[in-house]
Parts: sequence; C-alpha cells; structure tokens
Amino acid sequence: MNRRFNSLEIDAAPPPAPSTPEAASGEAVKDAQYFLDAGDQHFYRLEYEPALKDYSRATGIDPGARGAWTGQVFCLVELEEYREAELWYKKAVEIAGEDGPLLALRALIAARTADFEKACGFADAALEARGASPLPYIIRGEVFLYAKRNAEYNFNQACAIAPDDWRPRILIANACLFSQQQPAFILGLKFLQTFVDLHAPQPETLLALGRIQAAMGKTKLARSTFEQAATLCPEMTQLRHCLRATAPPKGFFARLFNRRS
Amino acid sequence: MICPGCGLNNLPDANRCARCGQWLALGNVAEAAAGPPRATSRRWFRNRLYAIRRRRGFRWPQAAPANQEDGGCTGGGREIPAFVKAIVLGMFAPSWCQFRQQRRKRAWLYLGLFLTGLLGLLFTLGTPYRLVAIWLLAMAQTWSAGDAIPFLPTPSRVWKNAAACLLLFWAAALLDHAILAAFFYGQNWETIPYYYHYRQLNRGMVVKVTPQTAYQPGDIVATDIIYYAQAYRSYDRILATGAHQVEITGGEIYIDGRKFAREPINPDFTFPDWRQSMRPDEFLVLPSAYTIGLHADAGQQARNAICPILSVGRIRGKVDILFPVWHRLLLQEQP
Repeated sequence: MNRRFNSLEIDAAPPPAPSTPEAASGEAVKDAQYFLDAGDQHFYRLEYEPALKDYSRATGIDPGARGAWTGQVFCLVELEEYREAELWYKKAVEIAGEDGPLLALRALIAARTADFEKACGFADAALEARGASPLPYIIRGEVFLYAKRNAEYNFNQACAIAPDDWRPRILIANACLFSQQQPAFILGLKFLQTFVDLHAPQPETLLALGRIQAAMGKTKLARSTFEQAATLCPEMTQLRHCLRATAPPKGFFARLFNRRS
Repeated sequence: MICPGCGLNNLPDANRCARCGQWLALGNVAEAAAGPPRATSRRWFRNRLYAIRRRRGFRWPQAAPANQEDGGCTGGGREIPAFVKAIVLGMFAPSWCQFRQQRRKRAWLYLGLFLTGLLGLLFTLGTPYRLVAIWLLAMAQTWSAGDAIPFLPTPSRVWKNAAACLLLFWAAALLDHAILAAFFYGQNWETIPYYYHYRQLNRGMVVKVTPQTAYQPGDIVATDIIYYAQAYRSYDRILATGAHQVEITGGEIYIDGRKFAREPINPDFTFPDWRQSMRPDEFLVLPSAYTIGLHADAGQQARNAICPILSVGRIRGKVDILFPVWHRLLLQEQP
C-alpha cells in the first residue's frame, strides 16, 4: 500500500512510524536546525572553521535556511576571505533569497574591503529591509566607525531590538575590535561591560570582554576575565589562545623588557 | 520527483515536498553540502592594504542631516588625487607586465631595480645629480619594458630593436622628468637656478616659497625684480629691517654708521658704493648675483637698476629648503 494512505482509518490504527536510529537511542536529531545551532555556538566562540562546516551542513540539509547562509558568509568575512564571501553571498541570494541580514553582510564585505561607497549604499538598503534582526544596525555601526561618525547610536538601536540577548553585544565587540581604534575599544567595552554586570556570566561574553580589555592594554584584567570564562567553559579553543597570549612573561629579559600592566 | 524524506511523488518542477516541506534534489544542494570554496592563499598583503584604508576612514557621501546619527562626527579621511594614483600605477606598469607574463623572478628584480632607482632619486633630489638618478630609473624601466615586449631576434631587426629600446629609454626618462616637474609645479615648489652655487643656497635645491606677514633678519626670501616689464626671481637673505641709514662702502655694509657683522648669501659679491635711508616697511637684501645681467645683455644699466632696499610688495615669501633633506639642518644652524 502506498504510504500516503497510511493515515486513513480503514482497518485499524496505523502502525507507528519507523523511528530514526538517533531518536531511538535518545540522541538529538541531526537536522538543519541542529547544525545551525552548532554553527552558531562555534561562531560566537570565534571557532570559525568548525562553524563554517556546521553551517555548510545546515545549508546542505535545508537550502532555504537563511540563518545558515548568513552564518556561512559571516564566517568567511571573519576569516578575511572576502572574495569567497562575496561569491557565497550571491549563491545564498540565488537559493534562499535576499533579506536584511544578508544585505547587511554585503555591506560588511564592502566595508572591510574598504569599498566604502558601496558599503554605505548596502548598509542603508539593509536597514530598510532589516526585519527583526539587529545585524543591519550593528554593521551600519561598524561602517560608521570607519567614517568616524556616531556609531554608538546604531549599536544602541541594535541592543534595543534584543535587550537581553548577548549575541548582538558580542557582534558589537567584534566590530569594535576589528576597527582597531582606541575609541572603538572603549565603545565596545561600554556595551559589553554593562551587559556582563547585569546578566549571568556567559563564556562567550567573557571571552569578548577579555579580548577588548587585552586590546586596550589591560592585560592582567583580561587574563582574569579569560580565567573566569575558562572555569565556565574550558573546552573553548580560542580561550586557550587568549590565555597563552596574556600569560605573564617568563625569563629575566622577558620580564625586563616586556612588562605588562 | 520522489521526496527523500516521506517518499511522496511530487511534480517534476517542485522545489519543496508538498507533504513534508523538505527540499527536493536541487542542482546546487550537493555543491552547497560540500562546503563553500575557500581561499587558496592568505592574501596577507591585500588585507593589510584594506586595514590601512579602513584606518584612514572615509567621508560619508550624503550631506549631513541634522539627526542623532551625526552627534559624534569627527571628520573623514583625505582623498588622494586621481592623477597621483595614475602616476604611481603608470610607474609600476613595466613590472606589472612581467607579473602578467608569469615571470615572477624577473618581475621582482625589475620592481627592486625600480624601487632602488626611486630611492636614489629621493636621495639625489635637490642636488645636481638628480638627472643621473632619473636616467638610472628610466634605464630600469626600459630594461623591464624591453624584456616584456616580444622583439623579433632576426639579424635584420637588430638595429630596429636597438632603436626601439633607445626610444623607450628616451620616452621613460622624459616621462619621469615630466612627472617630477608636474609634481613640483603642483606643490608650488621651485628649483634654485644654476647661477646660485653657495653653501646655503646651491643650484638644483628644491624650495618652497611661503608668503608671510612679517620677516626677520636672517630669513632667506624670494624676491621679484622687475626690469623692463619682466620679472626676475632671485633668492637672497634679509640683512636688516626697519628704519636705518644703510651704506655700502668698499664692499662693506654699514648700518647706522656701524659695520654690519652678518654676511649675505654671497659674501664675495661686490656692490658699488651706495647710501640710502630705509623706511620702516623696507628690507635690506643684498643681491647675490646680477640675475638681470645674466638673462639680458644689460650690463651696467642692470647694476644701476638694482637696489638692495626692497619694499614689502617685492618680497614673494620666505624660502624653506625641502630637498636635499640634510640641508634643512644646515639652514637651521645659520643665524
């Protein structure tokens, strides 16, 4: 009998649907959402290579998952592979269609490749089609950082969309860190520190906070923040790099010439 | 088209399954599952260039509206003129040709030669050896361009090829010279003429003339001497300012009856005996050379036309020596 008639009440109750081996053994079903969540987790922990793989699997299972496409393009941007990011953005638009976050990512690619004229246009267009995502505001804020305008306004708007979400704060911190400007570090610290003070500590937020502190030259403070994050989540690979980078110098000459605050 | 999830036989052109909504086999799904294409190289140099441009920033293209977004506006970056970009790109063209022909070693060699020539030009700028540096630079460019051009190696072509190389050298030298001259002209810089050959002001030096509201004794200034409706530019030192009784007797300068210790740029220059009173807005500038006599066969008439006392209107500005760079230090030591 064709499977489409299984639900008809002809004889008796239909036989139970065959369960997958993962469901039977109590494991999570590895669908697109599973890989998308795994990719997001890696992305916010700055593990871009595994995040890229997870997003790629998610798009393979469900090509209509815009979040996975967005994450994939974002990973390529963070890995400074702008040409590939542009290429993959076009493919994402072809398959999943255009939306605010994807358009904002195009603005980010243009801004990071110093094509500011395009970046301004795309950032404005992304803001018009943003939906409920704070990403267009964050990326517009990053473009504003390069233009030396009031980026704080855009970051405030992004935080107002999701006040209790830690993800926009991390994206803001990453944008501020990438711009490599001291005023931007202070701005990033302001957004992240207020959030960390008011909410339960997350390893990802602590990692971002430590990175900003390290960028500002407060190495000891950054190290204590990294250690706090390591107690919460010791398996973060980026955290190990950060701890190694902020380790106190060993040896006579290192201590003599490489003094840290 | 059979859905891999629920087995429903969908229409052939369907993208999603009508029952479970799963995506059906698309041409690019398999490609997407394989992962995105990755960069084969790190593109370190290009990314560093991007970082420099980002740090320099940019000016937001729209006119600034009066809203909250402009609260912290601190200005934008400086724009490089298009002709400067074109010149720089044009200078690198020969090496670029080599890169394009996949001759990387040669390309780096020519690029190195070109940069060495450019460095040599920078060092010899402001000295009479500037032309030699330009020739060396042109030679590197000609060598590179000649290597990039596929000349026919037949015996009958030897002279033609040699002539083409000479022509290339001539064109490159002329172009480099023209670019340098255009740059100087664009920056309002001046070159000291050949008849100045003193320690503080030598031929070939590159100077900048800056108009100022007040001048001090010891400043080297540019002046315009008008002779028969023609202006002659000369560069000399201000010896005295203000209302004084000035006298030149036997080559010595006397101010208010006392012998003056400060020397002009050319201390050996002889000037006929002469006496005059200065007004408060006049300057004593003893000429280093009869520039008019050099240009026109005026002789004694020119000598008579020159007056060492100049009014403010005749002084075009203070002379700052730009090249050679080490001469700036020498100038600072002077009174």
